[in-house]
Amino acid sequence: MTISEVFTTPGIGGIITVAVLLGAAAIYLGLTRWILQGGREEEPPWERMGWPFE
Amino acid sequence: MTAQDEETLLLAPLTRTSRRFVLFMGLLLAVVVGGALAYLRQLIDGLVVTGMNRPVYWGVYIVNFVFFIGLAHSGTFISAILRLVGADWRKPLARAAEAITVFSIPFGAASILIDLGRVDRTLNVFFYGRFMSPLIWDVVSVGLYLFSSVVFFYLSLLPDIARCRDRLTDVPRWQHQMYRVLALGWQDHPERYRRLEKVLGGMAVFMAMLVVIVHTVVSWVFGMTLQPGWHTAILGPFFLVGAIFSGSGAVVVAMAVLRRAFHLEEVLTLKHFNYMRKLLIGFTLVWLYFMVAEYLTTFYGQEVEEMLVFWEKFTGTYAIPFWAMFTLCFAVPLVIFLTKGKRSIGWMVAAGLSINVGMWLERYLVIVPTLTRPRLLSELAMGTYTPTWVEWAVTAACFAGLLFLYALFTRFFPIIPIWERSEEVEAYLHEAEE
Repeated sequence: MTISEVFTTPGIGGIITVAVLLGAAAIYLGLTRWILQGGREEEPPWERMGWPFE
Repeated sequence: MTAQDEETLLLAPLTRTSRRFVLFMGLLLAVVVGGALAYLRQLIDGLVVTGMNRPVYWGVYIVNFVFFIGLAHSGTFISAILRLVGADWRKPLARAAEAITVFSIPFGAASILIDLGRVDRTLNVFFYGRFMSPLIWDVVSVGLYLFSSVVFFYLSLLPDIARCRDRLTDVPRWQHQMYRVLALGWQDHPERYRRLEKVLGGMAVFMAMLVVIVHTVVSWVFGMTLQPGWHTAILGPFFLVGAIFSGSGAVVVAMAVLRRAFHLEEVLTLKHFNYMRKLLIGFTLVWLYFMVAEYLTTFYGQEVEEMLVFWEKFTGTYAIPFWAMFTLCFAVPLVIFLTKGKRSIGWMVAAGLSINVGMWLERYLVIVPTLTRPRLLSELAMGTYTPTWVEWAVTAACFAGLLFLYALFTRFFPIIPIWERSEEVEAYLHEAEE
Protein backbone atom coordinates (compact mmCIF):
# COMPACT_ATOMS: atom_id res chain seq x y z
CA MET A 1 0.00 0.00 0.00
CA THR A 2 1.50 3.37 -1.02
CA ILE A 3 1.41 6.49 1.17
CA SER A 4 -1.00 8.03 -1.29
CA GLU A 5 -3.35 5.05 -0.90
CA VAL A 6 -3.19 5.33 2.89
CA PHE A 7 -4.19 8.96 2.76
CA THR A 8 -7.02 8.43 0.32
CA THR A 9 -8.54 5.29 1.83
CA PRO A 10 -11.99 6.00 3.30
CA GLY A 11 -12.02 5.48 7.06
CA ILE A 12 -8.31 6.14 7.59
CA GLY A 13 -9.15 9.67 8.76
CA GLY A 14 -11.46 8.28 11.42
CA ILE A 15 -8.86 5.75 12.58
CA ILE A 16 -6.19 8.48 12.90
CA THR A 17 -8.62 10.76 14.79
CA VAL A 18 -9.59 8.05 17.25
CA ALA A 19 -5.94 6.98 17.69
CA VAL A 20 -4.82 10.54 18.45
CA LEU A 21 -7.61 11.11 20.98
CA LEU A 22 -7.14 7.75 22.70
CA GLY A 23 -3.37 8.33 22.86
CA ALA A 24 -3.95 11.73 24.47
CA ALA A 25 -6.43 10.18 26.92
CA ALA A 26 -3.87 7.58 28.00
CA ILE A 27 -1.18 10.23 28.50
CA TYR A 28 -3.47 12.56 30.47
CA LEU A 29 -4.70 9.75 32.66
CA GLY A 30 -1.11 8.78 33.42
CA LEU A 31 -0.16 12.37 34.24
CA THR A 32 -3.15 12.84 36.56
CA ARG A 33 -2.34 9.61 38.36
CA TRP A 34 1.32 10.67 38.72
CA ILE A 35 0.31 14.03 40.22
CA LEU A 36 -2.07 12.44 42.71
CA GLN A 37 0.55 9.93 43.81
CA GLY A 38 2.88 12.78 44.81
CA GLY A 39 3.54 12.74 48.56
CA ARG A 40 1.41 9.67 49.18
CA GLU A 41 3.13 7.20 51.38
CA GLU A 42 0.24 4.82 51.79
CA GLU A 43 -1.40 2.82 49.04
CA PRO A 44 -3.39 5.21 46.83
CA PRO A 45 -7.17 4.76 47.25
CA TRP A 46 -7.79 3.96 43.59
CA GLU A 47 -5.51 0.97 43.86
CA ARG A 48 -7.60 -0.28 46.74
CA MET A 49 -10.92 0.55 45.13
CA GLY A 50 -10.07 0.36 41.43
CA TRP A 51 -11.56 3.79 40.85
CA PRO A 52 -9.73 7.11 41.05
CA PHE A 53 -12.09 8.68 43.58
CA GLU A 54 -11.82 9.01 47.32
CA MET B 1 -6.23 42.14 52.43
CA THR B 2 -4.98 38.99 54.20
CA ALA B 3 -4.84 35.61 52.45
CA GLN B 4 -7.74 34.45 54.63
CA ASP B 5 -9.89 37.46 53.66
CA GLU B 6 -9.10 36.87 50.02
CA GLU B 7 -10.06 33.22 50.22
CA THR B 8 -13.34 34.12 51.92
CA LEU B 9 -14.03 36.70 49.20
CA LEU B 10 -13.29 34.24 46.39
CA LEU B 11 -15.36 31.43 47.89
CA ALA B 12 -18.34 33.64 48.80
CA PRO B 13 -20.10 33.47 45.38
CA LEU B 14 -20.15 29.67 45.67
CA THR B 15 -22.45 29.67 48.66
CA ARG B 16 -25.38 31.81 47.54
CA THR B 17 -27.50 32.51 44.50
CA SER B 18 -28.79 36.03 44.06
CA ARG B 19 -32.14 36.80 42.43
CA ARG B 20 -30.36 38.82 39.78
CA PHE B 21 -28.24 35.79 38.89
CA VAL B 22 -31.32 33.56 38.57
CA LEU B 23 -33.00 36.14 36.37
CA PHE B 24 -29.92 36.45 34.16
CA MET B 25 -29.65 32.68 33.80
CA GLY B 26 -33.36 32.42 33.01
CA LEU B 27 -32.98 34.99 30.27
CA LEU B 28 -30.03 33.14 28.75
CA LEU B 29 -31.90 29.86 28.94
CA ALA B 30 -34.86 31.42 27.11
CA VAL B 31 -32.55 32.47 24.26
CA VAL B 32 -31.04 28.97 24.16
CA VAL B 33 -34.52 27.38 24.01
CA GLY B 34 -35.49 29.82 21.22
CA GLY B 35 -32.38 28.79 19.26
CA ALA B 36 -33.07 25.11 19.88
CA LEU B 37 -36.59 25.50 18.46
CA ALA B 38 -35.18 27.29 15.40
CA TYR B 39 -32.69 24.47 14.96
CA LEU B 40 -35.51 21.93 15.25
CA ARG B 41 -37.24 23.73 12.40
CA GLN B 42 -34.02 23.45 10.37
CA LEU B 43 -33.70 19.78 11.23
CA ILE B 44 -37.25 19.06 10.03
CA ASP B 45 -37.32 21.27 6.92
CA GLY B 46 -33.62 21.11 6.01
CA LEU B 47 -31.08 23.79 5.22
CA VAL B 48 -33.62 25.48 2.95
CA VAL B 49 -34.71 27.50 5.99
CA THR B 50 -31.25 29.11 6.07
CA GLY B 51 -29.89 31.68 3.65
CA MET B 52 -27.31 29.21 2.34
CA ASN B 53 -27.61 28.29 -1.32
CA ARG B 54 -25.55 27.57 -4.42
CA PRO B 55 -22.76 28.72 -4.53
CA VAL B 56 -22.80 30.06 -0.95
CA TYR B 57 -22.54 26.75 0.88
CA TRP B 58 -21.19 28.23 4.11
CA GLY B 59 -22.73 31.07 6.07
CA VAL B 60 -23.14 32.35 9.59
CA TYR B 61 -22.71 28.90 11.17
CA ILE B 62 -19.20 28.52 9.78
CA VAL B 63 -18.47 32.15 10.75
CA ASN B 64 -19.47 31.18 14.30
CA PHE B 65 -17.27 28.09 14.16
CA VAL B 66 -14.18 30.12 13.29
CA PHE B 67 -15.13 32.83 15.78
CA PHE B 68 -15.68 30.47 18.73
CA ILE B 69 -12.48 28.56 18.07
CA GLY B 70 -10.70 31.93 17.90
CA LEU B 71 -12.29 33.06 21.14
CA ALA B 72 -11.04 29.87 22.71
CA HIS B 73 -7.45 30.97 22.16
CA SER B 74 -7.81 33.46 25.01
CA GLY B 75 -7.30 30.85 27.71
CA THR B 76 -4.43 29.12 26.04
CA PHE B 77 -2.70 32.41 25.38
CA ILE B 78 -3.13 33.84 28.88
CA SER B 79 -2.58 30.61 30.69
CA ALA B 80 -0.12 28.60 28.64
CA ILE B 81 1.91 31.16 26.71
CA LEU B 82 2.16 33.70 29.53
CA ARG B 83 3.00 30.85 31.92
CA LEU B 84 5.90 29.89 29.67
CA VAL B 85 7.32 33.42 29.59
CA GLY B 86 6.96 33.65 33.38
CA ALA B 87 4.47 36.55 33.46
CA ASP B 88 3.16 36.25 37.01
CA TRP B 89 0.50 38.92 36.53
CA ARG B 90 -1.51 36.37 34.52
CA LYS B 91 -2.29 34.36 37.68
CA PRO B 92 -5.58 36.01 38.71
CA LEU B 93 -6.80 36.10 35.08
CA ALA B 94 -5.77 32.59 34.12
CA ARG B 95 -8.90 30.70 35.11
CA ALA B 96 -11.32 33.31 33.78
CA ALA B 97 -9.51 33.02 30.43
CA GLU B 98 -9.27 29.22 30.49
CA ALA B 99 -13.00 29.00 31.18
CA ILE B 100 -13.64 31.00 28.00
CA THR B 101 -11.54 28.41 26.15
CA VAL B 102 -13.25 25.39 27.63
CA PHE B 103 -16.77 26.71 27.05
CA SER B 104 -16.12 28.22 23.59
CA ILE B 105 -14.71 25.15 21.86
CA PRO B 106 -17.89 23.05 22.26
CA PHE B 107 -19.89 25.82 20.58
CA GLY B 108 -17.31 25.99 17.80
CA ALA B 109 -17.62 22.26 17.26
CA ALA B 110 -21.43 22.43 17.60
CA SER B 111 -21.53 25.11 14.89
CA ILE B 112 -20.11 22.58 12.45
CA LEU B 113 -22.78 20.04 13.39
CA ILE B 114 -25.48 22.70 13.10
CA ASP B 115 -24.19 23.54 9.63
CA LEU B 116 -24.74 19.96 8.49
CA GLY B 117 -28.03 19.38 6.77
CA ARG B 118 -27.98 15.75 7.86
CA VAL B 119 -26.47 15.76 11.30
CA ASP B 120 -27.16 12.02 11.60
CA ARG B 121 -24.37 11.50 9.08
CA THR B 122 -21.71 12.98 11.38
CA LEU B 123 -20.23 9.60 12.18
CA ASN B 124 -19.47 9.17 8.48
CA VAL B 125 -16.44 11.32 9.23
CA PHE B 126 -15.07 8.42 11.24
CA PHE B 127 -16.32 5.63 9.00
CA TYR B 128 -15.39 7.09 5.62
CA GLY B 129 -13.15 10.10 6.33
CA ARG B 130 -10.02 10.33 4.23
CA PHE B 131 -7.00 11.96 5.78
CA MET B 132 -6.27 13.97 2.62
CA SER B 133 -9.23 16.21 3.51
CA PRO B 134 -8.50 19.34 5.58
CA LEU B 135 -11.90 18.75 7.19
CA ILE B 136 -10.46 15.65 8.88
CA TRP B 137 -7.43 17.65 10.03
CA ASP B 138 -9.92 19.95 11.67
CA VAL B 139 -11.67 17.10 13.46
CA VAL B 140 -8.33 15.84 14.81
CA SER B 141 -6.94 19.22 15.86
CA VAL B 142 -10.14 20.71 17.30
CA GLY B 143 -10.94 17.42 19.07
CA LEU B 144 -7.46 17.28 20.60
CA TYR B 145 -7.62 20.96 21.50
CA LEU B 146 -10.94 20.57 23.31
CA PHE B 147 -9.75 17.48 25.13
CA SER B 148 -6.40 19.00 26.13
CA SER B 149 -7.96 22.29 27.22
CA VAL B 150 -10.43 20.48 29.48
CA VAL B 151 -7.61 18.45 31.08
CA PHE B 152 -5.38 21.53 31.50
CA PHE B 153 -8.29 23.44 33.01
CA TYR B 154 -9.30 20.61 35.32
CA LEU B 155 -5.80 19.91 36.59
CA SER B 156 -5.23 23.57 37.46
CA LEU B 157 -8.62 23.58 39.19
CA LEU B 158 -7.96 20.45 41.26
CA PRO B 159 -6.43 22.02 44.43
CA ASP B 160 -9.19 24.65 44.49
CA ILE B 161 -11.92 22.01 44.20
CA ALA B 162 -10.32 20.32 47.22
CA ARG B 163 -10.34 23.68 48.98
CA CYS B 164 -14.07 24.00 48.26
CA ARG B 165 -14.58 20.47 49.60
CA ASP B 166 -12.72 21.29 52.83
CA ARG B 167 -13.93 24.85 53.44
CA LEU B 168 -17.50 24.93 52.13
CA THR B 169 -19.28 22.77 54.63
CA ASP B 170 -22.58 24.67 54.70
CA VAL B 171 -23.42 24.20 51.00
CA PRO B 172 -26.13 21.73 49.90
CA ARG B 173 -25.17 18.08 50.23
CA TRP B 174 -25.10 17.38 46.49
CA GLN B 175 -22.78 20.36 45.93
CA HIS B 176 -20.39 19.14 48.59
CA GLN B 177 -20.56 15.65 47.14
CA MET B 178 -19.68 17.11 43.71
CA TYR B 179 -16.56 18.74 45.17
CA ARG B 180 -15.65 15.51 46.93
CA VAL B 181 -15.82 13.44 43.74
CA LEU B 182 -14.19 16.03 41.48
CA ALA B 183 -11.29 16.67 43.90
CA LEU B 184 -10.07 13.09 43.24
CA GLY B 185 -8.90 12.81 46.83
CA TRP B 186 -6.53 15.78 46.54
CA GLN B 187 -4.73 16.68 49.77
CA ASP B 188 -2.28 19.57 50.03
CA HIS B 189 1.25 18.24 49.95
CA PRO B 190 4.43 19.97 48.70
CA GLU B 191 5.36 17.07 46.41
CA ARG B 192 1.90 17.01 44.86
CA TYR B 193 2.04 20.74 44.11
CA ARG B 194 5.47 20.33 42.56
CA ARG B 195 4.22 17.57 40.31
CA LEU B 196 1.14 19.55 39.36
CA GLU B 197 3.27 22.56 38.49
CA LYS B 198 5.59 20.37 36.43
CA VAL B 199 2.70 18.84 34.47
CA LEU B 200 1.05 22.22 33.91
CA GLY B 201 4.40 23.64 32.72
CA GLY B 202 4.88 20.73 30.32
CA MET B 203 1.30 20.91 29.08
CA ALA B 204 1.71 24.66 28.55
CA VAL B 205 4.41 23.96 25.94
CA PHE B 206 2.13 21.47 24.21
CA MET B 207 -0.89 23.80 24.44
CA ALA B 208 1.14 26.67 22.97
CA MET B 209 1.95 24.49 19.96
CA LEU B 210 -1.63 23.29 19.76
CA VAL B 211 -2.95 26.83 19.66
CA VAL B 212 -0.83 27.54 16.58
CA ILE B 213 -1.78 24.27 14.92
CA VAL B 214 -5.51 24.50 15.61
CA HIS B 215 -6.18 27.89 14.15
CA THR B 216 -3.85 27.29 11.24
CA VAL B 217 -5.72 24.10 10.45
CA VAL B 218 -9.03 25.96 10.77
CA SER B 219 -7.73 28.42 8.16
CA TRP B 220 -6.63 25.56 5.89
CA VAL B 221 -10.23 24.46 5.48
CA PHE B 222 -10.44 27.60 3.37
CA GLY B 223 -6.80 28.05 2.34
CA MET B 224 -6.39 24.62 0.74
CA THR B 225 -9.03 25.43 -1.86
CA LEU B 226 -8.30 27.54 -4.93
CA GLN B 227 -10.92 30.13 -4.11
CA PRO B 228 -10.09 33.83 -4.49
CA GLY B 229 -9.26 35.42 -1.15
CA TRP B 230 -8.63 32.06 0.48
CA HIS B 231 -5.72 30.44 -1.33
CA THR B 232 -2.97 32.35 0.39
CA ALA B 233 -0.21 31.23 2.75
CA ILE B 234 -0.85 34.20 5.02
CA LEU B 235 -4.30 32.88 5.98
CA GLY B 236 -2.98 30.57 8.76
CA PRO B 237 -0.96 33.19 10.68
CA PHE B 238 -3.66 35.78 10.00
CA PHE B 239 -6.31 33.53 11.55
CA LEU B 240 -4.04 32.85 14.51
CA VAL B 241 -3.35 36.52 15.21
CA GLY B 242 -7.05 37.33 14.88
CA ALA B 243 -7.92 34.49 17.26
CA ILE B 244 -5.55 35.62 20.00
CA PHE B 245 -6.65 39.21 19.38
CA SER B 246 -10.36 38.48 19.86
CA GLY B 247 -9.68 36.05 22.72
CA SER B 248 -7.68 38.67 24.62
CA GLY B 249 -10.43 41.24 24.02
CA ALA B 250 -12.94 38.78 25.48
CA VAL B 251 -10.73 38.24 28.55
CA VAL B 252 -10.81 41.99 29.24
CA VAL B 253 -14.61 41.99 29.12
CA ALA B 254 -14.85 38.88 31.33
CA MET B 255 -12.39 40.37 33.86
CA ALA B 256 -14.43 43.57 34.14
CA VAL B 257 -17.74 41.73 34.56
CA LEU B 258 -16.32 39.35 37.20
CA ARG B 259 -14.65 42.24 39.01
CA ARG B 260 -17.97 44.07 39.28
CA ALA B 261 -20.17 41.05 39.99
CA PHE B 262 -17.97 39.47 42.69
CA HIS B 263 -16.40 42.64 44.15
CA LEU B 264 -12.90 41.66 43.07
CA GLU B 265 -11.55 45.21 42.93
CA GLU B 266 -8.53 44.30 45.03
CA VAL B 267 -7.76 41.14 43.10
CA LEU B 268 -8.28 42.31 39.51
CA THR B 269 -6.73 45.75 39.60
CA LEU B 270 -6.21 48.45 37.01
CA LYS B 271 -2.66 47.14 36.76
CA HIS B 272 -3.96 43.87 35.26
CA PHE B 273 -6.08 45.75 32.75
CA ASN B 274 -3.03 47.80 31.82
CA TYR B 275 -0.98 44.68 31.11
CA MET B 276 -3.77 43.49 28.84
CA ARG B 277 -3.97 46.93 27.25
CA LYS B 278 -0.29 46.84 26.32
CA LEU B 279 -0.62 43.36 24.86
CA LEU B 280 -3.69 44.40 22.91
CA ILE B 281 -1.92 47.43 21.44
CA GLY B 282 0.62 44.98 20.03
CA PHE B 283 -2.09 42.68 18.65
CA THR B 284 -3.97 45.59 17.07
CA LEU B 285 -0.85 46.64 15.19
CA VAL B 286 0.03 43.09 14.15
CA TRP B 287 -3.55 42.62 12.91
CA LEU B 288 -3.21 45.80 10.82
CA TYR B 289 0.11 44.58 9.43
CA PHE B 290 -1.50 41.33 8.26
CA MET B 291 -4.45 43.20 6.74
CA VAL B 292 -2.17 45.48 4.74
CA ALA B 293 0.13 42.62 3.69
CA GLU B 294 -2.85 40.53 2.57
CA TYR B 295 -4.79 43.13 0.61
CA LEU B 296 -1.80 44.99 -0.87
CA THR B 297 -0.40 41.74 -2.28
CA THR B 298 -3.78 40.84 -3.77
CA PHE B 299 -4.16 44.32 -5.23
CA TYR B 300 -0.74 44.24 -6.90
CA GLY B 301 -1.52 40.87 -8.47
CA GLN B 302 -4.70 42.22 -10.16
CA GLU B 303 -5.89 38.68 -10.84
CA VAL B 304 -9.43 38.90 -12.21
CA GLU B 305 -11.16 36.55 -9.77
CA GLU B 306 -9.24 37.89 -6.78
CA MET B 307 -10.13 41.47 -7.69
CA LEU B 308 -13.84 40.66 -7.91
CA VAL B 309 -13.78 39.65 -4.26
CA PHE B 310 -11.41 42.50 -3.37
CA TRP B 311 -13.69 45.22 -4.77
CA GLU B 312 -16.78 43.57 -3.32
CA LYS B 313 -15.22 44.14 0.09
CA PHE B 314 -13.71 47.57 -0.45
CA THR B 315 -16.46 49.33 -2.40
CA GLY B 316 -19.16 46.77 -3.26
CA THR B 317 -21.85 44.81 -1.46
CA TYR B 318 -19.70 44.21 1.61
CA ALA B 319 -18.18 47.69 1.90
CA ILE B 320 -20.20 48.67 5.00
CA PRO B 321 -19.30 45.57 7.06
CA PHE B 322 -15.72 45.74 5.74
CA TRP B 323 -15.10 49.31 6.86
CA ALA B 324 -17.06 48.69 10.07
CA MET B 325 -14.74 45.74 10.72
CA PHE B 326 -11.69 47.91 10.09
CA THR B 327 -12.98 50.62 12.42
CA LEU B 328 -13.99 48.19 15.18
CA CYS B 329 -10.83 46.07 15.04
CA PHE B 330 -8.29 48.82 14.54
CA ALA B 331 -9.34 52.47 14.89
CA VAL B 332 -11.68 52.27 17.91
CA PRO B 333 -9.55 49.98 20.11
CA LEU B 334 -6.27 51.71 19.29
CA VAL B 335 -7.66 55.15 20.14
CA ILE B 336 -9.11 53.77 23.40
CA PHE B 337 -5.89 51.96 24.34
CA LEU B 338 -3.80 55.06 23.78
CA THR B 339 -6.13 57.48 25.57
CA LYS B 340 -8.97 56.64 28.00
CA GLY B 341 -8.07 52.94 28.35
CA LYS B 342 -5.08 53.74 30.56
CA ARG B 343 -7.26 54.72 33.47
CA SER B 344 -10.75 53.46 32.69
CA ILE B 345 -11.90 49.86 32.87
CA GLY B 346 -15.21 50.85 31.26
CA TRP B 347 -13.36 52.04 28.16
CA MET B 348 -11.30 48.86 28.11
CA VAL B 349 -14.54 46.87 28.06
CA ALA B 350 -15.75 49.00 25.16
CA ALA B 351 -12.52 48.22 23.30
CA GLY B 352 -12.82 44.48 24.09
CA LEU B 353 -16.39 44.39 22.77
CA SER B 354 -15.44 46.45 19.72
CA ILE B 355 -12.64 43.99 18.87
CA ASN B 356 -14.96 41.02 19.17
CA VAL B 357 -17.75 42.47 17.05
CA GLY B 358 -15.09 43.48 14.53
CA MET B 359 -13.51 40.03 14.54
CA TRP B 360 -16.89 38.33 14.01
CA LEU B 361 -17.38 40.61 11.00
CA GLU B 362 -13.87 39.75 9.82
CA ARG B 363 -14.72 36.04 9.86
CA TYR B 364 -17.92 36.80 7.93
CA LEU B 365 -15.94 38.79 5.37
CA VAL B 366 -13.40 36.01 4.91
CA ILE B 367 -16.08 33.41 4.23
CA VAL B 368 -19.10 34.95 2.51
CA PRO B 369 -17.73 37.34 -0.18
CA THR B 370 -15.48 34.61 -1.60
CA LEU B 371 -18.41 32.21 -1.87
CA THR B 372 -20.60 34.78 -3.60
CA ARG B 373 -17.81 35.31 -6.15
CA PRO B 374 -16.24 31.85 -6.49
CA ARG B 375 -13.50 31.23 -9.03
CA LEU B 376 -15.35 28.77 -11.26
CA LEU B 377 -18.68 30.54 -11.32
CA SER B 378 -17.39 34.08 -11.70
CA GLU B 379 -18.75 34.53 -15.20
CA LEU B 380 -21.83 32.38 -14.83
CA ALA B 381 -23.43 33.50 -11.65
CA MET B 382 -23.05 35.90 -8.81
CA GLY B 383 -24.16 34.38 -5.56
CA THR B 384 -25.99 36.18 -2.81
CA TYR B 385 -26.39 35.37 0.84
CA THR B 386 -28.64 36.84 3.49
CA PRO B 387 -28.82 34.99 6.81
CA THR B 388 -32.36 34.10 7.88
CA TRP B 389 -33.98 34.40 11.31
CA VAL B 390 -33.24 30.73 11.92
CA GLU B 391 -29.51 31.35 11.57
CA TRP B 392 -29.65 34.43 13.80
CA ALA B 393 -31.69 32.58 16.44
CA VAL B 394 -29.23 29.68 16.48
CA THR B 395 -26.31 32.13 16.62
CA ALA B 396 -27.88 33.98 19.55
CA ALA B 397 -28.46 30.64 21.27
CA CYS B 398 -24.79 29.69 20.89
CA PHE B 399 -23.64 32.97 22.47
CA ALA B 400 -26.26 32.69 25.22
CA GLY B 401 -25.24 29.08 25.83
CA LEU B 402 -21.61 30.10 26.21
CA LEU B 403 -22.55 32.82 28.70
CA PHE B 404 -24.85 30.41 30.55
CA LEU B 405 -22.14 27.78 31.04
CA TYR B 406 -19.60 30.41 32.00
CA ALA B 407 -21.92 31.97 34.59
CA LEU B 408 -22.86 28.53 35.91
CA PHE B 409 -19.19 27.73 36.37
CA THR B 410 -18.58 30.92 38.35
CA ARG B 411 -21.49 29.95 40.63
CA PHE B 412 -19.87 26.66 41.68
CA PHE B 413 -16.11 27.11 41.29
CA PRO B 414 -13.70 29.91 42.25
CA ILE B 415 -13.03 31.92 39.11
CA ILE B 416 -9.77 33.29 40.52
CA PRO B 417 -7.17 30.57 41.19
CA ILE B 418 -6.66 30.50 44.96
CA TRP B 419 -3.79 28.02 45.16
CA GLU B 420 -1.70 29.78 42.53
CA ARG B 421 -1.82 32.93 44.65
CA SER B 422 -1.14 31.17 47.93
CA GLU B 423 2.16 32.10 49.56
CA GLU B 424 2.36 28.67 51.13
CA VAL B 425 2.23 26.94 47.73
CA GLU B 426 4.68 29.49 46.34
CA ALA B 427 7.08 28.53 49.12
CA TYR B 428 6.75 24.81 48.22
CA LEU B 429 7.51 25.49 44.59
CA HIS B 430 10.34 27.87 45.40
CA GLU B 431 11.86 25.26 47.68
CA ALA B 432 11.70 22.72 44.88
CA GLU B 433 13.45 25.08 42.46
CA GLU B 434 16.34 25.51 44.89
